[in-house]
Amino acid sequence: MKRFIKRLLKFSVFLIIPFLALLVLYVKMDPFKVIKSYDSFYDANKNVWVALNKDFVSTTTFIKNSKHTNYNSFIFGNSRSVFYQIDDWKKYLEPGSKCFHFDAALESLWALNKKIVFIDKHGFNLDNVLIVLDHSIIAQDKPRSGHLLITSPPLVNNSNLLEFHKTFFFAFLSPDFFYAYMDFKQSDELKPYMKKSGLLTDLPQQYDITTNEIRLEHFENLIKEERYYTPELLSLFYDRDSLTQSHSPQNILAAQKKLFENIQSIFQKHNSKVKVIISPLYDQMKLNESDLIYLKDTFGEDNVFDFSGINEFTNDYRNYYEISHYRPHVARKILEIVYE
Amino acid sequence: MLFNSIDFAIFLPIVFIIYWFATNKNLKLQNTFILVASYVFYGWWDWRFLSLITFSIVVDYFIGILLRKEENQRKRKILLWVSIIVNLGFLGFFKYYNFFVDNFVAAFSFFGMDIKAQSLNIILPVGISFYTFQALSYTIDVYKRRLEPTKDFIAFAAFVSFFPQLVAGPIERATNLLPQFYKKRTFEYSKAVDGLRQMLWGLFKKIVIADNCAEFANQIFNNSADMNGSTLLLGVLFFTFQIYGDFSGYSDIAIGTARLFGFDLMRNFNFPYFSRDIAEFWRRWHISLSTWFRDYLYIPLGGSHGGTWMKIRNTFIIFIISGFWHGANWTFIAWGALNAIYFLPLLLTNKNRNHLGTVAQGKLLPSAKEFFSILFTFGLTVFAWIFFRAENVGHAFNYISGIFSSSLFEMPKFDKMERALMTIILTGIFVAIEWIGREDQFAIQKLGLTWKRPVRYAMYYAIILVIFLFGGQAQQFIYFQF
Repeated sequence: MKRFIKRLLKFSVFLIIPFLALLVLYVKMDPFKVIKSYDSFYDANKNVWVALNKDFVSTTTFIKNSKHTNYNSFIFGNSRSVFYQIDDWKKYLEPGSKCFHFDAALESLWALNKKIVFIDKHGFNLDNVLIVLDHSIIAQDKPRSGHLLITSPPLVNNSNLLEFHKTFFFAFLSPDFFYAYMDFKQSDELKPYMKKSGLLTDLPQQYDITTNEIRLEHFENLIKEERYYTPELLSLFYDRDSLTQSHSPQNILAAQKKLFENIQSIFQKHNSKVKVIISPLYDQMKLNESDLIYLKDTFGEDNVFDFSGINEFTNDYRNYYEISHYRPHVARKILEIVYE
Repeated sequence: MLFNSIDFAIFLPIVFIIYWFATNKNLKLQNTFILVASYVFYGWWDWRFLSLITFSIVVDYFIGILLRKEENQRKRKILLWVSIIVNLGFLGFFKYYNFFVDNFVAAFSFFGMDIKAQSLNIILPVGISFYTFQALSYTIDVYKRRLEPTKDFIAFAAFVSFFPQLVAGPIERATNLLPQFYKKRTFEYSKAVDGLRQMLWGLFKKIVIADNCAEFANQIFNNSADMNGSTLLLGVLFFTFQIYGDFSGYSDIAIGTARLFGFDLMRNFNFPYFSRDIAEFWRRWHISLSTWFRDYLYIPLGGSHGGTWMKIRNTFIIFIISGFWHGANWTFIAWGALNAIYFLPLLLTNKNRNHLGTVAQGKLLPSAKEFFSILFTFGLTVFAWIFFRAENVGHAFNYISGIFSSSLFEMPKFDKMERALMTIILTGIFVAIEWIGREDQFAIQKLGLTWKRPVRYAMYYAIILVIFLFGGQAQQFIYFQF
């Protein structure tokens, strides 16, 4: 027995030492900005970023800012909701409304509910709410995994703290990322292979720390200069059958209903002015009829606006940056329809 | 708690140290500690699962005691049925309730009758299909007087909930595992080392082979409508190695872990993809389940004795139920039925026991005949896996028609093809190592044993490095859902 343990320990030493060295390196470098405290997650002076967990960015920024800003108006949704700009939205709200983008990449209904519960629990008012939904958010009634998508610990009372940090540490250790990140740190140069994996990016973006709003003005400038829609990009816009209307499957089942009921009960408590927008997605898939009826029954007929399916927004590829995200002018037009 | 998780990497050494240093003086203490550790392991998923397994343990334990006392055959039969109803009742409710309700409603609406029945939003307790079958084997063996019922509740509870094999097998027989809880385990160096080597190989199969193949199998199956024939073929090949790496990898880790604690579990996989016919494949794939169905269902039904129709009937029953055991979906039933169709010609022509030994025993390469037999059997298996993996039967047929189209001769096209190439290379190396070690319990059982220690350690470090460098995105073990 003792011989077994002795040999096992000897064998393990060669594994444990490099592991500990990597752990120290990870803590020191903190590439995903989940260990140390930062004034802002996105540095305006730096052009290269490691892709961050937007759920964590939004939650941490909210916690930090909420010490001095009494937020009362929130935009929820996935990355598509980013383009509903606060300046546009504010026009329809009471003067003095304090707005915050509480979005997350690949948002789930599960995490959306957690965010609303969190805001309520911490004593903030939910006077104005804009929820930007699509069938992919509605379908997801469970937390997502992976370092870019894992739920921020404060939203779940820190119950996933160990899992959260483990996920990021292992993401750091993944050979693709580790090699690219170390190469970048060494050479200070963003090479094409580094961008290809999507872990490092030099996408110029503007970030407002108070509202947690990201803007891609660089893209808009390129579009103005007619340099954005290159043949390579256009080849990604696949052909759609714009004559036959397809529908998403019914996604609001028992689990989703429970989450929506909880969300609505909080809104009722706050007497919130809620607008639910179903995004106009490039796939032109219309939201399932029974899902739409359920949303209207829950949030009110006049508060749910369905822009999915074949329509003026989805027909024109120029309304999109790529097949996933529509542009701010579309969001602006939608806000106009919703509020007037 | 997953075997390939940090949680388990912390849990296992703690349990190992306490087991051998603090409880090794006393059998009762050893068993109690195994029981506590197993409950922690299982409760780690969801503590509510513990109530179900506890109920099964208590019911089967007392039914065992009553069966011992009871001489009246009618009453004994009633006791057996109580155990069967309780165990299969749990399984049926948690796993099959929604399937039956949905199909019931669909069948009535087909005849124009609109009936309302509510599906339930229930979680399937992890491993329920495995431990209910293990517990049932105990009551059936006691009923058949093949096994003396135990009076030791702790030993029985530890047998049903034994953590290495609790959630995905091997489905142990009470006749094999329970007696091991009656004898104090003493530490054996060679057994522990062998266990560690088997765990290492299991982790390689799971993390390197299964998780990498899963990424591409999922991508291709989930977007099968947009893929060409050659990509679809590649997709099902990825799934073929995913399911093998996943499930046999789990079994290797389970058997290896049990050996660290002084237990010998039954073998669950015996290099099934080197089988020369389907009958041999089924003697080598998920052995603990196949033999369970053979002993507790096929033989009581009359087995292969009796007339041709009885053979056909029994074969279909056993394969279809075996398929249905894997999940509440028609795809699993279709997969089972397809395997019955593969198997029947061999059974009816008495060729089902032609290949009982290892292929090309003692030789490096198989003969041409053996090679083509293996290839043909592998092809049949791959084809059947399409039904197993598809979302529904329609999806499976669409997938098949997609493969057998003119686009089969186009170049495969899907995301991350460079990484897929690396996965194919690793899988090729894996198959070669499995072939070399096919006469042993697991592929690397004897590999490097005669080498000098530094060289042997270098091999272990190399495997660990490959696991680390080429490990795929962590996936759940597929068989947890069954």
